[in-house]
Amino acid sequence: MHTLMGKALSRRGLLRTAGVLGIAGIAGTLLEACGGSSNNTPASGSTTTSGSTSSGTSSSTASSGSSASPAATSASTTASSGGAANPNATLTIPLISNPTPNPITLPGGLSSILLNKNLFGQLVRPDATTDQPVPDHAEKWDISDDGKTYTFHLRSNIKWHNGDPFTADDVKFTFDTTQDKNVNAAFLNNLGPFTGATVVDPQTVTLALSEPYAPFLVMLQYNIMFIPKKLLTGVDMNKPVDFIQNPVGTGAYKWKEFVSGDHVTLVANPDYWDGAPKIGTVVYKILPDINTQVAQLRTGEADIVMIEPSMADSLQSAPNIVINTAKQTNYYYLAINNSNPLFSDARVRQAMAYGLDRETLLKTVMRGKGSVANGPISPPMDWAYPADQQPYPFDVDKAKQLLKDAGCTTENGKLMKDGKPFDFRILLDVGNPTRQAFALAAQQYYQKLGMNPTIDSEEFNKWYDMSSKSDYDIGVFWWITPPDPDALYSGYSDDNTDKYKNADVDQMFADGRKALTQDERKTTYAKLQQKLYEDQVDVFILYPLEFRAIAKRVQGMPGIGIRDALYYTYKMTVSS
Amino acid sequence: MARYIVGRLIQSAVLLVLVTIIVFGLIHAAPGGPSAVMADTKLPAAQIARMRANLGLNEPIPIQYLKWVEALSKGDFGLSYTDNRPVLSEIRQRFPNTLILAGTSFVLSLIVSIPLGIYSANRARSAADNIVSAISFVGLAIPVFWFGIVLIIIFSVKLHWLPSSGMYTTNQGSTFPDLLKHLIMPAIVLATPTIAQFTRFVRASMLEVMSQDYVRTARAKGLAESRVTYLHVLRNALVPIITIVGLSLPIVVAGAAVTESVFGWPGMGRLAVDAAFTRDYPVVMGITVLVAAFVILINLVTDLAYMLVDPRVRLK
Repeated sequence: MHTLMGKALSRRGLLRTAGVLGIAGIAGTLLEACGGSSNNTPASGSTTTSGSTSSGTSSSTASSGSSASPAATSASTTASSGGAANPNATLTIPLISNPTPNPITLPGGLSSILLNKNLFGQLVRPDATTDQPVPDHAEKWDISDDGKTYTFHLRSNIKWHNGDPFTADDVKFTFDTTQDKNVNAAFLNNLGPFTGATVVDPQTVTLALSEPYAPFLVMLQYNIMFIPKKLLTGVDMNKPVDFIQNPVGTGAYKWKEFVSGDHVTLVANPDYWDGAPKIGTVVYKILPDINTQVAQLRTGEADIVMIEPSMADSLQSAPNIVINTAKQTNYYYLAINNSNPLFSDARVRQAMAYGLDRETLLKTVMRGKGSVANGPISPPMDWAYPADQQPYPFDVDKAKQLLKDAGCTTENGKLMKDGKPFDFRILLDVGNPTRQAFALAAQQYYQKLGMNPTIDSEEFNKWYDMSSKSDYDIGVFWWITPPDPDALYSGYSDDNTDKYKNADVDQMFADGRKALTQDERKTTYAKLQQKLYEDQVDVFILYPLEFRAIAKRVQGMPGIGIRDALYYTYKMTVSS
Repeated sequence: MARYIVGRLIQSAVLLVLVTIIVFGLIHAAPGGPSAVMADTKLPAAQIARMRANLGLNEPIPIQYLKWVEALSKGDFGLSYTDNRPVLSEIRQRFPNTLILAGTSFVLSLIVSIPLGIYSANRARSAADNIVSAISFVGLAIPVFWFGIVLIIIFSVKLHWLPSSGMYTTNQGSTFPDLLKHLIMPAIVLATPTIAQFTRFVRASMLEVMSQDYVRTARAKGLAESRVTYLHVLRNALVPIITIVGLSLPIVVAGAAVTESVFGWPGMGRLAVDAAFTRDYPVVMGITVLVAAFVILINLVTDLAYMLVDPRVRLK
């Protein structure tokens, strides 16, 4: 569920999610847009290996996607890139609320995430096809043999929007700020055992960890963005009032104008390290209502809108719009409060998986875009996702049998467990049609098993309060995470809200985190997924694709989730 | 007269303080805390506690209130939790936009509803009156949200006559004709229920006055019907109308929230609703102070308007 992104959306019931597998239409345009230029500088492509000079590199995780990355990340050898540069063109992206350009505390949630991608820079970024880390401001990196020291070599051609050079001092400053206890850093948790940054020389910085942390690079690509030391030294990053009026970043676009509740205008940064953007202006329009966003798309006043699956049908026929789907690390699930005695027996939880017709939900609610879920590790984490695992089929008889095995009895058609009727609440946040559909379906299917569920719809803040305090029996949740299984740690190990405790699972998370090779991790996470599947800690519903409606004139949007795809705004083009 | 106004101003100040105390209490009593500290339900409790402490949320609520008052007395409305921008500058940017929208729709309401109400009253229970009544009921019942979307689909998507949202066409300067084009649909949507309500009210008020003896006397004197209607009936009917109109103005401003959302109008109504949903306490309080002051002022003006219209209300 909830990451910052889930948050802003859910309040308005606009959650748009997820993804998988390039899917024909967009993948086509993408390849067209990025293909051909495989000849790029050492900048892109195989990274970890290039550091073999120093302390020796571990064949660590992130480089796995590197074979795909040269094509995807290498930039702008203009001719091959699908469309010509057009400095007079404008790309318009609607947001539901005011964004705020402060990547440290991330006020403004999802809106700010979508804005920051074009304003600020990072060490590494998600690859446009694999979503795995590839070079960004760091052109290469070395990882020490013990996996506890990461040395990043920064590009020398990066400048802040005000012309100052970008150096290792800025990197250190950003990480120091994130670590400051007085600063409400949004992504602090993702940095795990990170202990501190050290400047080696203006182009080199090391990040130290207290223990090996295999997902580190993936976490660094996930919204860890640089702020300028020169401008922000001594400024309280909880309230950098002046900076957010006129932010300075190292991204592909520069700040131009903000009108509260109306729009933000960014203009191309001609000095961007990977070449000047092809579209001259990006406008983020603040449109709180999804219907208005769609209307604007129809009239040509907006270009990229995330939509609910249920809206796709009516937009399909619009002549100037393409509906496409993209993979995203996300899953919908019925979170089970494992401390509730009704659900303490794994057979009961399995019965609930058998008793829910998830294939049908996939076909109806998601318009078939996605796949039925086996566990929290989703297909976009492709190296870790055990593709051969089969989901529990829809089988009411099997479900009833399992309930009987678990000691449930039936009295007057009502299911009883330990002498108590099988009554429970399904917690739902108000306003999102997709999750509402899941809640209603769960209610109906579980009634057929003799259970008596009631739906408890709550306004977002109350919902948040209840879900974070485990005040639910069943919750219709979703969870968008960085594309690494370790990101699921807080959901199934640690002090999780589902109150699930399993020493084996804890151990597997610990092993997967510290493992130094990808193969080792793959084995561990396959076991983990299997364990969570057998235990059916939650009823994993499905892995959704992200639905977005895009103006036909826009070309070159990568087929990854929009949050990551917008790193590549500077490569997109529009035809007139 | 001057004493009366001074007295009313003191009353108003007390009222304003009471309103802020009540709203402060209510918004803190609402379930859940500010969304600003809701990064992730799976965040460790210690980290959430630290974030709350950094925002000063762990202090007792009366202390928080007093700190807010102290800052306010220095003109500091604080920063929005959700977007980190100064509350006052945010309101200053947005409030005029709401006034433009609400004001236009208000004037539109009066221009349409007063003649329509008079017309209806003069032909009470005729076919024309029944049609006006029926349309009024539709106008009252129509969901603003749906009506807005329908207009957008017809006039923006299908006909391409009007822009579907915003106040100005982005990055093309801010011209008055452009503003007017953007204003038409939201103003109509916002005015529709008000027009319906005012029309019903003007009609009822006119009818009541028409049944008075002095109207019959005026007619018996042989006065022209138009003179009876406009001089005798309308003037007396205006007193209750002014009351409801005065009371409605703040309601129109507040009601602008939904219209503003549908049409992406950068106004304050939307800001207020969003702030309430995200428990953005500084923004909620800033808007409360401003709107409360505005409502109190409008009521004062309404009372003064009575005096002009109705000699009986004039003070000795």
